[in-house]
Amino acid sequence: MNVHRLCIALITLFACGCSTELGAGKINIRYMAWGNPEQMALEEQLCEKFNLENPDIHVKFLKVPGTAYLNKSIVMLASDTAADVMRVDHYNFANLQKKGFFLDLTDLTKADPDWNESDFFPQTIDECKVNGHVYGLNVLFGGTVIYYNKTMMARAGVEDPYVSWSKGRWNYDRFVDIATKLTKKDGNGKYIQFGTAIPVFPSWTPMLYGFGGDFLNSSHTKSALSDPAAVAGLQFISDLRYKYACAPTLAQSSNSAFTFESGKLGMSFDWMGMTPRYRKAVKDFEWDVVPIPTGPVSGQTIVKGNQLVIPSHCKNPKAAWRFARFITSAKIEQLLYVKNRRCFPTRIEVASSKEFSDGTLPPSQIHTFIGAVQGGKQLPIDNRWAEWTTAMNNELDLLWNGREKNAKVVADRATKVIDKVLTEEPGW
Amino acid sequence: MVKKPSKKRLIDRQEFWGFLFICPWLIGFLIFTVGPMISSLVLSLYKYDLANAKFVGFENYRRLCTEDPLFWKSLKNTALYALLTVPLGIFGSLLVALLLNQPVKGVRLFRTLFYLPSMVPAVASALVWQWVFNADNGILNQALAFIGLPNIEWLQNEKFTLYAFVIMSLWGIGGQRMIIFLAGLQGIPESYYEAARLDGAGTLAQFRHITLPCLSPVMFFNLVLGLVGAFQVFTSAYIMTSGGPNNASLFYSLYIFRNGFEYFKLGKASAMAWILFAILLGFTLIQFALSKKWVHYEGEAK
Amino acid sequence: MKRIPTYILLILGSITFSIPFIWTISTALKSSSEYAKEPSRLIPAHPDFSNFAKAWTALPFPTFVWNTIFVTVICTIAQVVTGSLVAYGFSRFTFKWRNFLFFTMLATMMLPGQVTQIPVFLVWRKLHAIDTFFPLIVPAFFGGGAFNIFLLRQFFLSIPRELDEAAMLDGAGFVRIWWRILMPLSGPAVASVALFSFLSHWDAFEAPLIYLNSPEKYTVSIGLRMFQDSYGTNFEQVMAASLVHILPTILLFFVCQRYFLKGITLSGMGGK
Repeated sequence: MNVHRLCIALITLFACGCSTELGAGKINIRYMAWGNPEQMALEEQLCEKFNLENPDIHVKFLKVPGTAYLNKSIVMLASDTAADVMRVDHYNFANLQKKGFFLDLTDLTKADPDWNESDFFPQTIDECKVNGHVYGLNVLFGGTVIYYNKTMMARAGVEDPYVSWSKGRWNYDRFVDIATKLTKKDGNGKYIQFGTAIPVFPSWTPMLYGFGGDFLNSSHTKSALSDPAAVAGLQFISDLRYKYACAPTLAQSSNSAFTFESGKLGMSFDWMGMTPRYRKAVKDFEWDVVPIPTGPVSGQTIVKGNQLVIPSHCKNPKAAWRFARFITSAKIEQLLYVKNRRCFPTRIEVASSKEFSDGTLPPSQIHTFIGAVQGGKQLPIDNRWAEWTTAMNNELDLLWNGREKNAKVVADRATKVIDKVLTEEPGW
Repeated sequence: MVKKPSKKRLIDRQEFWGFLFICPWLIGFLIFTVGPMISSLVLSLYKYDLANAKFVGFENYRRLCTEDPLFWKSLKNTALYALLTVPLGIFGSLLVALLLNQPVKGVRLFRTLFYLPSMVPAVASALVWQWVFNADNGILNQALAFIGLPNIEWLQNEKFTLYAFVIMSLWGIGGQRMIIFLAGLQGIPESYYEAARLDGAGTLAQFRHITLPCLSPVMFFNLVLGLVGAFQVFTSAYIMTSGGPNNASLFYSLYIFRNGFEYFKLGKASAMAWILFAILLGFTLIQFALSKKWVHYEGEAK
Repeated sequence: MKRIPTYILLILGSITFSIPFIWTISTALKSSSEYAKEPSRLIPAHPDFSNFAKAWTALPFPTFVWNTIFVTVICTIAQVVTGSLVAYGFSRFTFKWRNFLFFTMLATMMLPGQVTQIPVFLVWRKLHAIDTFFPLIVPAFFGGGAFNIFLLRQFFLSIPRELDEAAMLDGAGFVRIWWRILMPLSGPAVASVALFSFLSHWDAFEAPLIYLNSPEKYTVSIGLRMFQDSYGTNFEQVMAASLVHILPTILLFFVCQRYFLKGITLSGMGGK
């Protein structure tokens, strides 16, 4: 029988599978992140670059599919096998930090002569701090802005939103006016073009903020959605769909029928990080970005980043720190955020560089990004975020799918479920 | 080898060999399964959020049953889903298996075509189903319009979402269960049918007195596994609707996943898992008890 | 003539059941600009095959494919052999606690895997097997799970015992009976277990995701998920990659049919 030979072959194969190539005499660290194949290829290059420049350290890059990233992170953190540097979405940062999974980086920042808090946009530092201690370095920071189809605007003969903005009349009345004019039906009464769309949570938050509303009270202990300002904001969002009919319903927009890149959507609330995708996918119309319209109270947008963290059980925190510093250095930020326009730099120096303002490729109004970050407001992300937003969004579904058109009714229901989550002891 | 064993020796050997044959499973169970199962049972008695563990006795169970409306909602959704999909799936796949067991030309191709939906990976099928159920121009609504029925917002209207998942499961009747029935049909000796035809039995009588009894072991398998599978339905709801709208497709396993991996309530998630365990074990024991009446084994070890 | 209704049913059924697959092909053949504009059109206006090349080269798929084949083939063989041995033990022997152990085995599938994920991971970490193929492969050598064992037991139970007894009188041992009588007589059942275990390991996502860290050890299903992106998924590429992913399984399924054709395995039995 060949069983014997097969066994030997199998054992050999296993042995190959088990051996990990260790850089001889080097400190081996691992970096874990998620992203699409292109983004991963870019980060792979960064790792290679780092390995070349730092002969005493070897970084190995672990790429993980985004949809399963949290699951894998939790298993790794809970079993003390997490990568030495890992990227964490800010949505999960507070929760994981509270469990003591992350190393306090404050001492490392103080010991590093080249790391100065003042080099960074304060918003990006804020996100990484818990009780005054630094637990992460910000990457892929950004806010939502409005992407708009310039060609569609010109064809419909409406004023370019950027012109309205520069003349100081870029408010929600004008926004609705333009959106309504851009919405078109064909001969059979079927919609073929929409002025705007209600984005997925949390990208619609700027409209809530614009009307002076918020999700939670300032101490994050109770829902603030039933406050009149918040109700007005929610009502406005719902009205885009059911009163002004300038945004597609969920059914109409299903199956990617009215995406921005389809050319059938006039204005879209979206993260700055969408730029590379639109640059690639949009071929037959011109587009640009403009700040969020000013509402009755403000024109604030939302900002959020990801954090590079070092797990508390990390064996080589110094090497890990050097790598995290490398990824957030000015040189690399130039590459990530200026050349590739993936989100927004955390360093003021990079954002104010001449290269950053270059608008040869769309979008041309780059200062929209800078303004959005400077005036942006953080989402109330805390360790219960996943739980109360899931509960809230379930109630808001009623408003978004038109089962209930009165925002007050839905806001009261949402308040009830949010308060239930927040008053409960965590862990139950 | 002993040529003609005495009755007594045979029984001894039975004990020994039987154990030996199940050893692979038993060893694997002892190493990899029993420990984690016990630890999750213990965890269900704790309030545990990955950082702090506090012994709370049966409090997780009590809170689930008395204070958590979503627990009941997810249980109700899942039970309704199982109630609809298990019988539909079993009868559907039996019919398809009978059809694909016909000695016609190109039957390999037809079987492959019927099996295709079960091969499409979950990432791709989410998109496929969004297209099928699309309210505006989805293929299902076009079919409904063809017979004069109004458009239905399958995935947006909470009244219909669960049924959309049931319809989706219908595309699976050409899959695994059908193959099992087909394998069962292949195992029925042709001589049984020949004998029946000599006795003058018609097609229906043959089906009732030969096919059904001979298929009963695999039918039973499909019933037990179908129930377990339906109660653990997860991926499609996670990818397509993430439980919405308004929790209409919040299935039990999805709620366990959320509690465990999104809200970090590992004690609660474990308690939910053990409740499901108890439900499924109960149903399975009942099915085994009932099976004595209708499942027919040719070679049962007495 | 008698067969015409059968053919009509078969053809109608085939069309209905192929819809998801046809849609997958249709999307895979759209260029990104066509998908952006006409995501719902069934027949692409300008079929574009470049998505396949793009999807294939975006990630090191040849490595992923090799890893997947390696894991899948070993698991399938191991699972069929050990699973049928265990099923043989449960179906043909009487021993103490047999029924209790059988129910225990069935019970292992009733606890949702999510709550045992971390404890099982800790077991493998103790065995220093994280980031190796062991956690993916070794379980297949322990019977490969309740599903296969239960299924094969059901088939073994429907084979008349007289056949084993006759063989035993001829001097055959238990191993011989298992290999020479039960396995061949359960041809379609063994083929289905092999097919199911191939498919389940081919598509497996959870275990590779949790246990593998090094990209050079990844399997195809992890690669597939990489195309999903929070900044807008390229569905054309997802679909193209999915098609490449399922092509081998379709071929295998088609070939496997040999074991499902009436009369091959059982002619001997009818005459016995």
